[in-house]
Amino acid sequence: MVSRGNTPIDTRPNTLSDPFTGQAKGPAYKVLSDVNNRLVAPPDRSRAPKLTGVVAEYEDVGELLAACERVRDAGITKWDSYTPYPVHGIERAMGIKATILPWIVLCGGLTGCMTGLLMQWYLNGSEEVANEAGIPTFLQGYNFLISGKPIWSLPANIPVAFELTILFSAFGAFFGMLVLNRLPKLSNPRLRLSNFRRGTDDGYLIGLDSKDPKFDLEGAAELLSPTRPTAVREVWDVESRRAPAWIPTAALILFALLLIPPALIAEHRNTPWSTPRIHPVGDMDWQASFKPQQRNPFFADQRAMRPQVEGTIARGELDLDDALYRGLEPTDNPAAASGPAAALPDGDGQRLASAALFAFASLNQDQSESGANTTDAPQEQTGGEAPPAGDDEEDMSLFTRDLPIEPTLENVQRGQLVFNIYCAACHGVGGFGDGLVHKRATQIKAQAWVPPSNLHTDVTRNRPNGYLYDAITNGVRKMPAYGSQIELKDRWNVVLYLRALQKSQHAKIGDVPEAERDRVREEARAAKEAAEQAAADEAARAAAAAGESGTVEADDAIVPRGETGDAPTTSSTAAPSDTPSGAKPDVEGRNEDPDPVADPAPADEPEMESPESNDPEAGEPETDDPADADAETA
Amino acid sequence: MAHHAPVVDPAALREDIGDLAGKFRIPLLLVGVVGLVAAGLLASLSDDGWAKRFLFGYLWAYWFFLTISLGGLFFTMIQHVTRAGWSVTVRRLAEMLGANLWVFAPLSLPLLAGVLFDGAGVWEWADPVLVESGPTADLLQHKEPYLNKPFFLIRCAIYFAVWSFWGWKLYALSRKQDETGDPGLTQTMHNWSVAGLPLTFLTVTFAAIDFLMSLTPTWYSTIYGVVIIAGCAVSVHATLAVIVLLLRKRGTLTEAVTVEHQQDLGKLLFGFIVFWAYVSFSQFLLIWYADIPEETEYYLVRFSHGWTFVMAMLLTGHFIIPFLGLLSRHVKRRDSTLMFWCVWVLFMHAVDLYLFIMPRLTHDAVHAGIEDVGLPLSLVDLACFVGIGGFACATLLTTAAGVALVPHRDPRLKEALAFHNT
Repeated sequence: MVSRGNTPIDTRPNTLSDPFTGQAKGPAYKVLSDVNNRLVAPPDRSRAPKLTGVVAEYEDVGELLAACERVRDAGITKWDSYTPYPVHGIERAMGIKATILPWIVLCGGLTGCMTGLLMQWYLNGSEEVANEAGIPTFLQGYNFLISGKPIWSLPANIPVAFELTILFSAFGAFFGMLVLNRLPKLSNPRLRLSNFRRGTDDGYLIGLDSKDPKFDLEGAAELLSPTRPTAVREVWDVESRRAPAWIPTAALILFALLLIPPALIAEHRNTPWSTPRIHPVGDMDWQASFKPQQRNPFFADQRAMRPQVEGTIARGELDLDDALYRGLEPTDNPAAASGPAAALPDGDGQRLASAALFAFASLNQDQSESGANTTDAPQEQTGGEAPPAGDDEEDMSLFTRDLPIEPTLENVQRGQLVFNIYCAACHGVGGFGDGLVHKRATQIKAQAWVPPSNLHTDVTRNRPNGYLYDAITNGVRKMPAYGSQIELKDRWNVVLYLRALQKSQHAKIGDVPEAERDRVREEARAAKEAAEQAAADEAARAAAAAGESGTVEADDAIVPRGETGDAPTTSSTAAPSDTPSGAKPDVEGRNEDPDPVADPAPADEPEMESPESNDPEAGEPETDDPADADAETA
Repeated sequence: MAHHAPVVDPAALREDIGDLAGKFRIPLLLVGVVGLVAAGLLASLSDDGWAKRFLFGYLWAYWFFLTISLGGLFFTMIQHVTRAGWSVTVRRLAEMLGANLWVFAPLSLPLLAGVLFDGAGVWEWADPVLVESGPTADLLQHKEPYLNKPFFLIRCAIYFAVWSFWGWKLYALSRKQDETGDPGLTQTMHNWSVAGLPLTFLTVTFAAIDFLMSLTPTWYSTIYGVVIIAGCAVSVHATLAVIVLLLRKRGTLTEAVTVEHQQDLGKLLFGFIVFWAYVSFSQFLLIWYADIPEETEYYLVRFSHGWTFVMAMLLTGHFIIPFLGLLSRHVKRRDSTLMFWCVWVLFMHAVDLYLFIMPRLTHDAVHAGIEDVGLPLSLVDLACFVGIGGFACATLLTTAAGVALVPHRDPRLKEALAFHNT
């Protein structure tokens, strides 16, 4: 063995017989006290060094394993071995039982899995149970509908449950290992032995702990001597002392003091105060600048928000073109301009240049003037008579029938794109008022749901372009305004596309190019025959097939059924409203705006999903509904 | 004790399968012929038309045995690429499975014939009528540059060439090392594996797309090949363990393959069961969550007409139950329990492939307007399984005849024999 530092090393031949007894039986081992233990002398000498065990050193892993078996068989329990690398079979030689760590990991994994599932169930799937159990709302989960998935759906929960399974398994493995190994261990007297570090390099060591009930110095020497260790050393704990009594006390006090700030914060956050709050940064809380809608005495009108300087217009806001910007007849048109302008109060008429205001004012003005027999409000409250037939048309005359954009194919396609994004959700891709939102609302029998208009009625077909533009821009009845979402030109593109869409359902054979007519007629005949054939086959299947073909046709630009000319073809049901178009425009106007209260049919009949079924109001053309009239006027 | 190098009788390392080949080759071939003939006869009773029903059963049984052999090739290559020491004693068995891949070229002839004869095959895209004017004609025409007959046959030729060549090459090199003992051959095999591994991954992925995914040509999944390869890995580890256990029961391999190797095969089987579940569920979850019609088509039919039961069966039987069953090391180290779970997993692998293939029959029946469509279970499938199994096993025995079951002059053999799970 090599001498290391000033440590006395046993260099006697590792050969003979009985050691430890001190008797002259030949060259013998002696249990050595490591001087290093004494080099760092404790300042507190009142406490005597304590023997904590012995450490035996070996040069060969085979010797170590044999020694381990001997110690194991002697029934010693508090001991350990130290090797530079994991030694196969050492756990058997030491009599170490199989670890329970896998069970900890398994329990951790199962806990994680259940935690993940329960957490997600509580957060999003526990509504019904919580309601039944009377749990207050603020203790319940969120119950969000996400992507139309069920409130509680296992597939969506598996990734989270999986991740938590892994996480808790890893926690189980890591912390379980630490606990089972009694780690972290800050200090061990054995570490003071100078040769102990060979256990990480080229030495093999066994350490017996004095806490073992069978331990005594002579017995340990006797036990280890036949295993031919190169050295056996006593381990003295001369370093560890009890900490001074004031340290734990001081730590406790400090800990208690540290609790005060969070406790104060918690208290203040939960206490109502009558005094105003403290403003640490007053400059930020009280700024000199004005906020919208505030009062500013500096100006004569005391408005902090300054209106535009008279006679000027902001860049890009010159919207003189009534037709393009508001869908109205140009104001120089005497029909539109004279009425509204006359109705405005004097003087103000000059300053409020917005033609939209003119139009709106005129709209209401006309209403109250022409419907002289009754005003709007009583009409909607009493549910009285319908306004005169001519009223609707008169309103419509305000709107332009021109199209202020070029009717190019590109614009139509752009319109289709926008229509399918914004409009189709309610009105349906085909414009029959059968969009997914409507279907869903019908399915769940939504009480407040107003069915979207079928865009293929004569009323809508006869609306001025400007009216449709206005409806898109500002909304109509329950339909929200899309002006802020769809830019101006696209709104006109949608109008253009809508016209094409309407044409596709209302085309006459004359609209078809000469060369194509024969083919269209042929296809129409074939389609008709096929439909008849299907109808003959089976009533139920025929209904389904008709629904399908109807949807397909709605997407086509040209519908073969247009051949029949006079049939509007939006509906294959023989609804009275569909047959003689234009004869009763006012009544048709009603039909465009069905009221769910007056006509709950769609809500009660979830099976009505085909486009045809979106004419539920067709069955009741005589609907005399105040809400309708209100909707029209508003 | 384990740290002592085990003493193994060199003669025990040179054992081969003995008279197994001589005794069983001819009977197995007969079983193969009888099975396929029976399958053809049974299929003629089917409503789907005998060629179609026969070929569906055939495709299923074909892929069951093909995935095992492909798994053998994967296993061999990965051991070489990673320079694995522990697996040397079981690597020869995987080499034999890989070397048997050539037989799947002639066995594919009925399937290829189904492509060549219009409308007789299992693939919609190979039917000119459907491509011309079928309900999905648009998509089929769109995909025609890839899914057409000549290109398909060319691709098949490439697949079989790659698989057969690499399977044979690695087997031949390994046997050569048995004779010469040249350690340099280990590096040669390493190099061949490095080249062949990505190629095999690609070819198996594309073969899975061509043979299985194109059964639903309007649908696609980018993880499809990985799911199939996960199936290859699962089935080959189960098969290797079964072969080892059977051979040791016969008295061979008793010294070379220890309980440690057995446990490792079990561990890998366990791991790849989890991997299979992971990728299979990934595919399902993404499609389920996005809920896009063009993707849900695949699972729509698998959640109706009785297939829901099969899906649930796979979830529990291919993952949850074997996961818990194979968790303990004692299960993997005991012959009877490991055997049980390997057979279980192989059965589930067959069910897995069944779910890949057969719902297409349900789909067709539904679209033909047949009502009350149920699971298309048929004895045809069983007969095809027996038939192809007979052929594949017969050629496997021929491949293995007279060859030592352990590469006994591999330089890493000592490491493998001393291998010890902590």
